[in-house]
Amino acid sequence: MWVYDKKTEYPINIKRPDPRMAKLILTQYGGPNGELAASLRYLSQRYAMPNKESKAILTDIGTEELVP
Amino acid sequence: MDGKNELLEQIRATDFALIELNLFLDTHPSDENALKDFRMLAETREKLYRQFTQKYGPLKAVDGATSDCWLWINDPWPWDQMKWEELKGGMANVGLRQENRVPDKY
Repeated sequence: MWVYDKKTEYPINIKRPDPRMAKLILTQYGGPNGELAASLRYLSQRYAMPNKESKAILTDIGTEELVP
Repeated sequence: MDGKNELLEQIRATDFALIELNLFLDTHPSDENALKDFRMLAETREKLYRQFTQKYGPLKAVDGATSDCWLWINDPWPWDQMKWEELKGGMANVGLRQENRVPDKY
């Protein structure tokens, strides 16, 4: 299962607010070809993996992509 | 009482209570009884977790490294429907024949 860490993986420092860029980034995360969708695919595909290395890597990439 | 499944079941039960208290405390942050229970269970959880990790290997990747071995990837994963005691890898799920398996040690 997943547990939330109250920190970001990389520090956020917005110097110039830009709503259009923000929209692009949000789509990159949550949109139809975004990280969120990719992470759920990784986490589903891992159940069919035949060895421990691939089970681990799909679990861990899926986990990394899951939450910004 | 100290079998792998029994210990894991204790961690599960503790986590379940902790999660419910967590949700309750999010909306009732100064409820003293809930705070007391949460702290008590968090302590129990830590003890159980340490016990489990030392005996049966990591539950989280950060605990996955020894001096010469990356334990994190070791079977079983939670979806490997096998008895904990007979670790044979997760082949049963995908129907690969024994001879086609990737060996555990290269």
